[in-house]
Amino acid sequence: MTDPYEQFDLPLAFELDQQQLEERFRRLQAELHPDRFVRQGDQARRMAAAVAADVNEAYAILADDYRRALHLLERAGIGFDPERDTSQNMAFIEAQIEWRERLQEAEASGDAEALQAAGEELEQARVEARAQVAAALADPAAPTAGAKDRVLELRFFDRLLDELRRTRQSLARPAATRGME
Amino acid sequence: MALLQITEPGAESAPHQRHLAAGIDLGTTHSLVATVRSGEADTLPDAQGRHILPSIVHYGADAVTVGHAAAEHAADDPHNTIASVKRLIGRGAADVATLSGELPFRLKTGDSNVPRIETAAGDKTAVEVSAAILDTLRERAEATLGDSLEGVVITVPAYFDDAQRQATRDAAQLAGLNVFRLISEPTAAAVAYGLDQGEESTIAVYDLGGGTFDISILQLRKGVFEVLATGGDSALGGDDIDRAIADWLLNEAGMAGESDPQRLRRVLLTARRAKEALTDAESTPVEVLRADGSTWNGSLDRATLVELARPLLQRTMEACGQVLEDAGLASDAIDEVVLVGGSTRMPAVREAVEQFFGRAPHAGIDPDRVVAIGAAQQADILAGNKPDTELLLLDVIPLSLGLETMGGLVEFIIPRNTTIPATRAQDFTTFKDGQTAMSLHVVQGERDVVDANRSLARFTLSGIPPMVAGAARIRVTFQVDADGLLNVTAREQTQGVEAHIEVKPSYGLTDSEIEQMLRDSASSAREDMEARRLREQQVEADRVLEALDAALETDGDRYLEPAERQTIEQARDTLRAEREKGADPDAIEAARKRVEQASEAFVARRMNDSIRRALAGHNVSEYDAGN
Repeated sequence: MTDPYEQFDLPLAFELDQQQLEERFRRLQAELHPDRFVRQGDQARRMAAAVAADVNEAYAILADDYRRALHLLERAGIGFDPERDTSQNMAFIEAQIEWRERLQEAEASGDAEALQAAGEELEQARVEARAQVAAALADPAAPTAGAKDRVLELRFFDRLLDELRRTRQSLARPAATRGME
Repeated sequence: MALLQITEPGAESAPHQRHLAAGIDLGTTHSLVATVRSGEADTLPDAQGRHILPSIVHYGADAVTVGHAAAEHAADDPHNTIASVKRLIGRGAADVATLSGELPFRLKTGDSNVPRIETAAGDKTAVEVSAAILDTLRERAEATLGDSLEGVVITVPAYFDDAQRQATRDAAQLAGLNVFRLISEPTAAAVAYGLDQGEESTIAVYDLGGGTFDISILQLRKGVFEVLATGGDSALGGDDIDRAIADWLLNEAGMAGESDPQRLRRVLLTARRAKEALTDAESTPVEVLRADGSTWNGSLDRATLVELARPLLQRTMEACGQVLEDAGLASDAIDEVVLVGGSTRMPAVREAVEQFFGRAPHAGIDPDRVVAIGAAQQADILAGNKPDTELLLLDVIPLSLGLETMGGLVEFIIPRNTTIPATRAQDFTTFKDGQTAMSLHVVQGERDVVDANRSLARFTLSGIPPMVAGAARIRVTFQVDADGLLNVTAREQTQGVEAHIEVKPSYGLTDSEIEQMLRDSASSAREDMEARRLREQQVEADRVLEALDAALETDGDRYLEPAERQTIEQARDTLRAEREKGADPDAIEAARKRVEQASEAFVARRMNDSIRRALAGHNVSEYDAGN
């Protein structure tokens, strides 16, 4: 797969022009989507599908703060396996435990307002974590020494926010939606 | 930055030649076919002027009938009259067992896990029954348009999984249709109203049909349709309102507890007509024939109808509330509401929907036809009839795809709502020394536990070179195409051995079963089939010739050595001669295959280069200057 930045012809930077990113995504798909090749035969269509899938994946990486940061680290030669490699920063490990405990308490109490308040603080913490990542990757070719920890912290907040969203949804609604007939 | 317009997908050598394409709404209770003519998309009627084709097939001992004619057999020959087959398509024996109580026909399971319906004309699968419906629609379209269809867009429910989409595609293949694309029904409805041309909006599609209710929340962002949530009730629809009216009529006429099926059917028919009359009128006269031959005359007004329909409408509103919660949205977050399904003609339904979402729904297009119309518009674009359009429908995968891992858990490979086409790979390893085979189980769904999801297929990889445990690296690649259909491949990375894959679809038909069905249908009406095949091959030949001529003209000099070009042109001329002779479909097919073979490298070079150029972002003038 081509490098996402090259594929979208965007300058190598953590901060991206969102509008430009989306506009290029649309243009690439408009030209490469297999729908554009339905009358050109199966071979052309299959090739287009493979390339369009690449474009989709590149867009998914570029549009997501955490994945984009991880990719920049990889490019700078300090990539790591995010599933196995975890943060060694003790202060942040403690912070993580505190966040989790706080959410678990709010969750256990079933108090929607407490969850709401925790969620807002978490959002704010995420904004700060993102700013830290942006600073660490200010020069994408030479990330700062702590860049990896910053990226892992951002991921922590993304995941926790995601869990919180799901918790709030399941509190709002007792049963699953569609039983298949 | 202007990207290079590659391969001119819409450019035609004969600009005024229209490519025949159609949109098909293959519904549970009824189906429609629509096409764009003179810039307007509309559904096509049969010879009697009826647009709606009941999705019913009757298998008599010596004749197969479809639609209105088949519906007439429902009472006297229920076992051989197959309705609502969409509930079975792509489903396995276990799913179907839970439905069989509701179905009047007899089911049995074959050796491929695909349930068969016993009929007087032999055992039929849901794919074959659906193909009979599609075949009727294809014939209608071709009779109206005067020529073979180049391709179709078929709609499927947003929540259809891989097996159900694959089965729908199989049915189309069996009916001799070339499927440009499968799109979801709510997306098609939104397209019909032109909502895909907006920048960003959240759309609710409320679809109340005869026997099913679906509510979908779509999000359109920069031309990508994402299905945020779907819900509904597969056993709720306008028919329930008819039943409620019929019960009221029986009560009023002093016939409560009436059990004679023929009289009940007549009352039901009266109920439906009264409901339809009340779409425009405030009140309508009703007449019921009693067992003693006397008649009861009364009238039904809108207020009473609203009361009768209220419990059902309430259930649909509860489902709407639930999908909004699933999507994490408040009801005022909905920007557009679209009505689909004949039952939404009832003013009471419209009012309830408007009240719930706080905005007037789009209702300008016939709600029975709106899905087919949207599909026809999309088919017209894909056929290349609108070369200037930038419009592109991007879909997402509706349900996550994953593999079973240790302990019956699921490892998700492609999460739901990933934009398609999509490719994701995951590496696996062996856990025993010398292990040469590995089994994989592909599932679709959102639950962490395998058993709670749909089983799609089981794979056995063999031919892995024997190594110590953990040394082999088997890369399993999931590819989802633009229709949401999954293809899985596996390769051992360290030695580059392509592992052999044996696919056992959990529900679908195998290729050989489909081939057998094609042969069976061919032998039943050989002459028809021959004529049809000839026409299909001619259409296919035209498509190839036209694309090739255009490609040679624009890029022939750029990509081909003179000798290569000569080989291609010879093959092309042979094909053109066979096509003009128009005598032998096999000869045309063989000549076309030779053309495709001869131009394979040419096609690949053009694709590669255009992809490279588009990705690199060079603009046209830059490219031309460098040439």
